[in-house]
Amino acid sequence: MDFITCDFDKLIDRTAFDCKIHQDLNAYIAQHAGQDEKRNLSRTFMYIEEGVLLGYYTLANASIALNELSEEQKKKMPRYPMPAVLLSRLAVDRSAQGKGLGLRLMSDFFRRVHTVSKQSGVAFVVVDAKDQGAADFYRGKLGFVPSTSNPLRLVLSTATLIQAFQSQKQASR
Amino acid sequence: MNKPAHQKPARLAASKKTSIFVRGRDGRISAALLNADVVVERHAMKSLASSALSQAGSVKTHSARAPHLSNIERELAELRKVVAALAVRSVAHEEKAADFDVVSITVLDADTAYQLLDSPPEPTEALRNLIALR
Repeated sequence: MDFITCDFDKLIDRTAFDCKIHQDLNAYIAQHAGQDEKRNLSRTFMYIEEGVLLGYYTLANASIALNELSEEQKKKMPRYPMPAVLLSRLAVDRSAQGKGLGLRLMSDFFRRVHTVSKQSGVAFVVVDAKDQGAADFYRGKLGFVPSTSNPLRLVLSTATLIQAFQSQKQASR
Repeated sequence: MNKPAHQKPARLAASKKTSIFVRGRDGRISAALLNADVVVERHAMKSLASSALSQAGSVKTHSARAPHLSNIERELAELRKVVAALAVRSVAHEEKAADFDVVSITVLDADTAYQLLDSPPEPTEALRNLIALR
C-alpha cells in the first residue's frame, strides 16, 4: 500500500501546527503525541511538505462491547469485546485547509486499517467526530453508524471497507 | 521510681490527619503513627487505649542500657496492634481501587453489530471515491 503520510518524527517542528478550530488538536501534536508514541498507546502519522507539518492523524486499537444480546445472538456472537481500530484524531494545518488534504488523510487512514486487517482481526473501524457536522459527514456520506454509548463515536464494518478495496482492485484490472 | 501523687492518666491524642501520640505518665512519647489515614487512626487508637501504655501507674522506667524483658514484650504487643491496624487500612484501600472508567468504552447494540458483521452494507459511492484518493 502506498501512503502519503510518514511515521511520527519528533524532529519535525510541531509547535507551529495550527488547525485553527480545535486547540486540543494543536496541543496534542505539540505536547502529547510523542509521549503516546513512546508508551505505545497510539501511532501518529504525519503529512509533511518541505519539512513542514501540514496534517496528521492518530490511530489506536480499540474494542467494542455489545449490549442487549438476545438468547439467539448469545449463541452466535463472541462474549468478549470485539476488535476495532480507532481514528482518534485528524487535523489539517490552516495553511493547507480547503485543498482536500483532510479527505486524503482519511483515505490514508483507511488504507492503513485495510493493511492492519490482513495481519490481525479488525471487526470495526471507529472514528471520534469532533462535532456534529463531522459526525453527519461520517454517517451520511461514508455509511458509519453511531455507537450506542456516544453519538460522536461512529462505527463502520471492516467488511464494508474491504469490499470497497476489492472493488477498487477489480476496477483497476 | 515514680510517685503515685504525680501519676496522671495517660493521654491519648490523635490529630485529624496523620499522627497518634501516646504519652506515659512520665511524659515520654511512647508510640507514633505518621501518614496514616482515618481508618488506621481509629483502629490504632482503639487498640492502644486499652493497652498498658495508657494505664496510669503501670509503667516503670528502666535503664535504656538494660531494658526489662516485660517492657520489650509489651512494646512488641503494641507494635502487633499497629500492624493489625495497618492491615485494616490496606483492605480499605483495596476496596477503593475497584473504580472503573466506563465512559470511554464503545458500545453497540447487538442487532446492529450482528448486521454489520454478517450482512455488511455495500460501500457508499463516497467511500469508494475516498479510498481512491492519494
